[in-house]
Amino acid sequence: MLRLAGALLLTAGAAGVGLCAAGQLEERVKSLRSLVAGLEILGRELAFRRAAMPELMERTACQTEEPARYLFAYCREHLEELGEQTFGAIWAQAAEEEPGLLLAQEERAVLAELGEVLGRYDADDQIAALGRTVDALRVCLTRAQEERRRLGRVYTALGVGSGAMLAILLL
Amino acid sequence: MLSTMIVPIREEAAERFSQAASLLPKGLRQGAERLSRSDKARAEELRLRIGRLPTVTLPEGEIPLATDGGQPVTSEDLRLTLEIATQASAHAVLDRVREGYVTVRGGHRVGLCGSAVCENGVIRTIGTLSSLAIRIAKEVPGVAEGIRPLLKEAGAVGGTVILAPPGGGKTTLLRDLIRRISDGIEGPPLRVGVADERGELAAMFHGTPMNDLGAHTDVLDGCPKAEALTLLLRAMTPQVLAADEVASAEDAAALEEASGCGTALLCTAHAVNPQDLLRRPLFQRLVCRGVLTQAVVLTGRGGTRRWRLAGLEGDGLC
Repeated sequence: MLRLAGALLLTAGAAGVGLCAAGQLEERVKSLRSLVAGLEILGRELAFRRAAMPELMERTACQTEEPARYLFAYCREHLEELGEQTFGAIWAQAAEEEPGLLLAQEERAVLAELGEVLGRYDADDQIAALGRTVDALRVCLTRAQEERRRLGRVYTALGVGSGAMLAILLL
Repeated sequence: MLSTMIVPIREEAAERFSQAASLLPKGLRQGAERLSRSDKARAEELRLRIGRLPTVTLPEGEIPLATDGGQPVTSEDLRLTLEIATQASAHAVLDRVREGYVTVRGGHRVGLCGSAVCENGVIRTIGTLSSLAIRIAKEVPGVAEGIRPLLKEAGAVGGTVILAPPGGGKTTLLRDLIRRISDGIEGPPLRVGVADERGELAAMFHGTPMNDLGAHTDVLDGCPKAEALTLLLRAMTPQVLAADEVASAEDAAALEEASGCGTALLCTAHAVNPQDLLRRPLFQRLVCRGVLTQAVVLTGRGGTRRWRLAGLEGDGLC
């Protein structure tokens, strides 16, 4: 009886690890998707309203899904710190601090580059920079979707399979 | 008529200085923060020039301010100051950057100087900044005391221009005069429409004036003066129209148009005295056509300024 319970726990644990790894891939896709959508909203707000940065960040945060919402909400909240640090630094910090964004180094670099343009140039230049960032992140999103498709099943199968194998060995 | 107005040293003036100093990057702020409360209240401007120490302009002149490690101002400091002043929203104030200044929360004005980027002969933006001047907004209730009863047309203002050289206190005086007319001090309350192109009179922030312009005042800010005057006249039926720094032919044409509608006018212009003003064809025309009938001439600087009322006549010019 004890062996059976142990085998079941092992199977569940290993399957859980596999599913978790596959889930991470899924979360990363969701994160990049929300980020791309958020940046597109920011671009539209900039193009049509040309509002000041606090309003831009607030409006974008309200219309964006998690986890990307955090990026805009963080910037809005920390705009009072201008003078202590630049907007670019606040933006980069937001991208660094939210673990839920699951961004790779390359994606963080793309975002940091955008932060150095936002609020500093005229609206057209900022919209162009947003467009370039969205394009770059779309490439990352496609790659992440491909990884999820390719590795998601592998991780799940590996997890469940290795759990089952351990259970057989134990029994 | 000659009268003296004492600009009081007030806690509020020192607070406004601190608000303006908070536009400076951290490393440049300490010198400004260390000034005495009385100097803070007397300060008129903060100036930043690349390669030099920041300075504060007091009535007696500019004095340098200490920085972290005695470091002079850098181009990055100027860029940061502008980022703070615009709340990282260059795109929202670009039209004003083209004009060479940005008005910020509290009504302070940041004047910009550097290398202009031109396209088809028009300034697109100021690319590389070389210096900045932060003009500290001052609200001094009471400075216009005694002026209103002396104005023509039984205190209904008429066509009045406030004259002083740059930095002479014109905007401060106009602001208080608007408040007194609007609140019914020294005369009946009148509806005042304010064309606040540079945002210095009312210092609107999210629809709320940061400066008190009275209970019966409507403000249109951020709009070219000429258009604002016409819009106010059409939409808000003011009894008095006020505008700061009339300088262009369009502004003058709008004033002329408004004067024919039975609305009293209040404005300011750079000039030392009426003779100086009447050297400019723009004002010759306004005086000859009876649009401007009197001038409040401001003299002196700093703590004690004087004003006198003078009639405007275009004898020999019209």
